[in-house]
Amino acid sequence: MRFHSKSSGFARMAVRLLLGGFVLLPVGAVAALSLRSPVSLKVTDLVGAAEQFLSWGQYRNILFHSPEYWKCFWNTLFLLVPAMALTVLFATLAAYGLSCGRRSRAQTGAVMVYILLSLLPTQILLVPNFVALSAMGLIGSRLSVVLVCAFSPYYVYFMFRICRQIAPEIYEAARMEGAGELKIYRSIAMPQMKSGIWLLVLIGSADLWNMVEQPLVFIQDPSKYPLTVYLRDMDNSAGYAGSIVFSLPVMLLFLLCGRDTVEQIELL
Amino acid sequence: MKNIQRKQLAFLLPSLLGLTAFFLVPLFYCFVFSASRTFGRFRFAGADNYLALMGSKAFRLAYGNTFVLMAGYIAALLILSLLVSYVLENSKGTMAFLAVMSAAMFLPSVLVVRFVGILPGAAENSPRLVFLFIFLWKHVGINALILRSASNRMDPAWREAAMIDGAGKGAFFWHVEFFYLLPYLKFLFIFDTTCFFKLFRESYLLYGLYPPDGVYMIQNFFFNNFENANYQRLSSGGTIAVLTLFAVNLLVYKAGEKREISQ
Repeated sequence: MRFHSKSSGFARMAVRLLLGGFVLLPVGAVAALSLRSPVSLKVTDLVGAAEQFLSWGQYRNILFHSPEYWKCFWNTLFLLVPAMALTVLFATLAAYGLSCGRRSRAQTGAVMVYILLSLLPTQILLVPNFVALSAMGLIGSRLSVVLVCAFSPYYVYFMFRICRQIAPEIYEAARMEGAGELKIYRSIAMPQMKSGIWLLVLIGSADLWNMVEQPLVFIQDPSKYPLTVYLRDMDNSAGYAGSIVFSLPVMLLFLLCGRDTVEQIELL
Repeated sequence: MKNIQRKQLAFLLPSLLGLTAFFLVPLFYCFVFSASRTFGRFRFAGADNYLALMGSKAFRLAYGNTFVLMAGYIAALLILSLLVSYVLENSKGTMAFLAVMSAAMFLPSVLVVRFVGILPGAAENSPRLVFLFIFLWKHVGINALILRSASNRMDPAWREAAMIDGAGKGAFFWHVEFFYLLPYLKFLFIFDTTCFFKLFRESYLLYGLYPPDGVYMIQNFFFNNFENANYQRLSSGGTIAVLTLFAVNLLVYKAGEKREISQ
């Protein structure tokens, strides 16, 4: 039984339209402006208007005349791919260790530590991270950013929330059959967490794709800066198209992840 | 049994080692040196760093802004998400719609910042509104999605019982559904807090290192003072910010605990 009436039907429609417009407006506006010609033309007739407002000029500039853009694009990927791979490895291992078996006091304590640390903003952690990295002599290398991101407590807590939804009976059954812990992790926990891992990859990549503060402070070498830092200074001759092109990989990942992943968000 | 537990804890080791090396030990180190005159060689300074920090106009501005804006923005976001989830109900297509809306969170900051750049004068004249807009734009989809799906999982018998007793949709929401959603709202508060601090990226993209006073926050204070390498003072600032954050979250965690409902 549901509460459905005519008036709530109207309200639903209104909320959908308003929210949809609110979320789509920025994307649509930037997409529309990305088709503007990079040079201002004098618009006198329809053909002129088409040349001004429907041109591939910005995209041409990005794709073929911006070696800097692509260098920074690869810089972002060089940071993102290893950081994400390590994050998935460490976070799934830790999540399994935190949630399998009978909850012990050590496990509860560790979860508490992860939660508390994941509350702290990146900027407050800059000094402690910097202290550790310089003690290890890693300042200036890409590895510094990769390591700090890979051990981020936030993703462990996140993975823990997903992993604890697996019914403990499955583990118990496997243990009865004589499976070792590593075997259970690989053959039971990992497949069960699959869509959760995709969600982790999606959220983590979207975050790393935007990375600004850690590279600025830890790498200190403009030739290794990621794309976000570069896009900031890009002018209107290609900036709108640059933002759209930059958004495409994340949107693609979102679509690839698909339904199962979104269902994981709902269960968080 | 003991043996298995020890093996399970071994899975934690890699992550825990990294956490200790990059976060726990250096955090403690910074905490210790927040009471030192110099960083690296301990010379006891008592509360001097803390007092100097309290006297700093920039820190007071940043600290005040951060927690005022955090409270305002997160409250606005949660109320809006609750409203959206309440109005949309468990109707056909709602989940798919909200899933599409939640994609905004994954889009890069440069996109929405470009959009703000189109609006004439917005970034200069009303930075707080611009930040509110960006914050809501990014997160209302995912917040509403999580709340809606939590409501969908609620035992339908409760609603039927309430209806038979004559409670309307609104009364049911205020007396039952809200308290059922409380634990989810608390989780979202933690989640949105981390999202709130990520506004630094939009701030950097819009204004560079020196945003207008209205949105100058501790993220900016930390980032800018990093250059001066006055780490002991930053450490005391960090200690104050960390303690405040923990206190706020503890309060939120405890709020209304007695009236929470779970199935």
